[in-house]
Amino acid sequence: MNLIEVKDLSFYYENEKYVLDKVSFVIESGKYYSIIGHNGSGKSTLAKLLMGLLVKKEGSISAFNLAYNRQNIEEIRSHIGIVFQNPDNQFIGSTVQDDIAFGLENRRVPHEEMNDIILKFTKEVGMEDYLEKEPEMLSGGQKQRVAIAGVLALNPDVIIFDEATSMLDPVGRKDIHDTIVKLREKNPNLTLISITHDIEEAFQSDEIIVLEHGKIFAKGKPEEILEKASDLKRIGLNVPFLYEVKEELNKRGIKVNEYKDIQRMVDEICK
Amino acid sequence: MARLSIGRYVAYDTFIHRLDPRNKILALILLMVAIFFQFSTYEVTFIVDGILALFIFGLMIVSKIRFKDFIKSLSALWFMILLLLIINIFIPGPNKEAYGVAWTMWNYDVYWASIFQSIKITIRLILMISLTLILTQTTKPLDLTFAFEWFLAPLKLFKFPTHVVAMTLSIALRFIPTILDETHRIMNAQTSRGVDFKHGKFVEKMHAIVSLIVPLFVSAFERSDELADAMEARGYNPKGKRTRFRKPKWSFKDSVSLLYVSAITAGVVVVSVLNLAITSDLFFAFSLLVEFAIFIIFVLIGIFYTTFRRKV
Repeated sequence: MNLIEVKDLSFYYENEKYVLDKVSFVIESGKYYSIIGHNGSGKSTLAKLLMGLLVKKEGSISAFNLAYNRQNIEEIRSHIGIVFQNPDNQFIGSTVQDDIAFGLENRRVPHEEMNDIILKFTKEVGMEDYLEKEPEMLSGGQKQRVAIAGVLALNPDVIIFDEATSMLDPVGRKDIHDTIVKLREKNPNLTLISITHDIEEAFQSDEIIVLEHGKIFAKGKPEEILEKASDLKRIGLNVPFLYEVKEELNKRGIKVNEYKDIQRMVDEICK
Repeated sequence: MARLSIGRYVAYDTFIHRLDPRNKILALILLMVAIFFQFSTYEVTFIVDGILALFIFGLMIVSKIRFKDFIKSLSALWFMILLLLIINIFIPGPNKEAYGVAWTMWNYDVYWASIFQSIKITIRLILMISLTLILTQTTKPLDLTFAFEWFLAPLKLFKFPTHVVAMTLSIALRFIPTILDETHRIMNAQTSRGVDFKHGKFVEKMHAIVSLIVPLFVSAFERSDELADAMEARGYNPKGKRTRFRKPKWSFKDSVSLLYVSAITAGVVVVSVLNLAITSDLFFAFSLLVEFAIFIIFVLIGIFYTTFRRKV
């Protein structure tokens, strides 16, 4: 089922330079997408358009068979959640539980049900011991986990991660990554769109969309994207380290096929 | 990182902490009225202020306010006190001769009344600061904004967006520590680039401050932009109806303590209106005793609540 359909979508800010130029893709239910590209390739603009925070200039965009307009936007937003880049600037409540409650208040969830919901989703991201904590007592990774819990509490069908790990230290990055993996296992119907710089992370998703200067450079399954590895390198994007190792080994006449899992790769080389 | 200890909530679980924020604000206003009442003579003033001071310091003990924080919060006051003393000494007023001359300085008479007046205002300022300190250290900012919103509710009749004001307030409070961190970061960054915030003439210091203010504002605007996006993405609509996560409850102990504070204020008003002269020593001795007894009872209740109730 197509949840989100984007067709020939274009967008520009005041200076009329196209940030997005005729972008088309569909988001299917239950899949994990990654959108990769350089700074200024239009990734974050795309996320804001999907969230209805910006209004498209040309083309069409629809979610859940609803066009993005003033009447539908509240309905569309109730299906889509987003985790932004900066942990501080999306922490709205003054404590962890207040922050998660913020979205619930907006959705008019009755007061009596809030505590249970908050507890359930803080447990899901492993933050149940921090309910009373204020944001300045938390690390970046913990704040992002709270943001994820806040999004989950609203029961969305799609979650967008807009470079959610890019401001975190390696520990926080791994933290969020593990949380996302766990989420996928627990909710197979949840659709994830991860906008990222992290190539390793992107190649673990079901589909990858590569943006370059506002245009779609490539899209497809990770294997398909890797067939164009040389093109990716040409526009300055990396490929996963293990894939690179495999390529170099192949060049030197050592036949290796595995590149997704380091242990299996080692086994294959040692054979 | 240096943290502001003044005016920050300190998480304890005391009797005062557990009172309804609306009650605390009402009590603050009542006690402030009591503090700033005028009396016929300085004797009466000092007796009443003394009783109020006892009560307020009792409150501070009950709400476990650290002595260090109290002293810190008064640190801005020393200059005020000096200024008050000078102004009171050099500005002529009515009935200054009533208490006689304290000393003569280069043919200028310094009256006792001037000194009394400065002491009186100093005491009152200290009491007022203590009260606000109690309020801010025992009440979460969010609860305070809730109380403000509740008090502003009648304005809704005139289509005044009380909810938006409360939300703005709570976000402002939420971002104070974040912006402070940012300030320190920018100061460090600018210092490493050769800007000197500590030394130099006034003009040089102003230049240094500009190098702090500009980036701070830029980042604050960026922040607010992102925050607005985040709020909208989570379905915030300032015009829409919302439910509430936090609902303070007015309990029996709120009614009792508010009644108690009202009684104190009423007592102060009565003393002021009666225009008592110092001759009725007995009455004051008696009222002092009663007040002291009630104060002790209050402290005992507080100690009881803090030590026993938590374990139950």
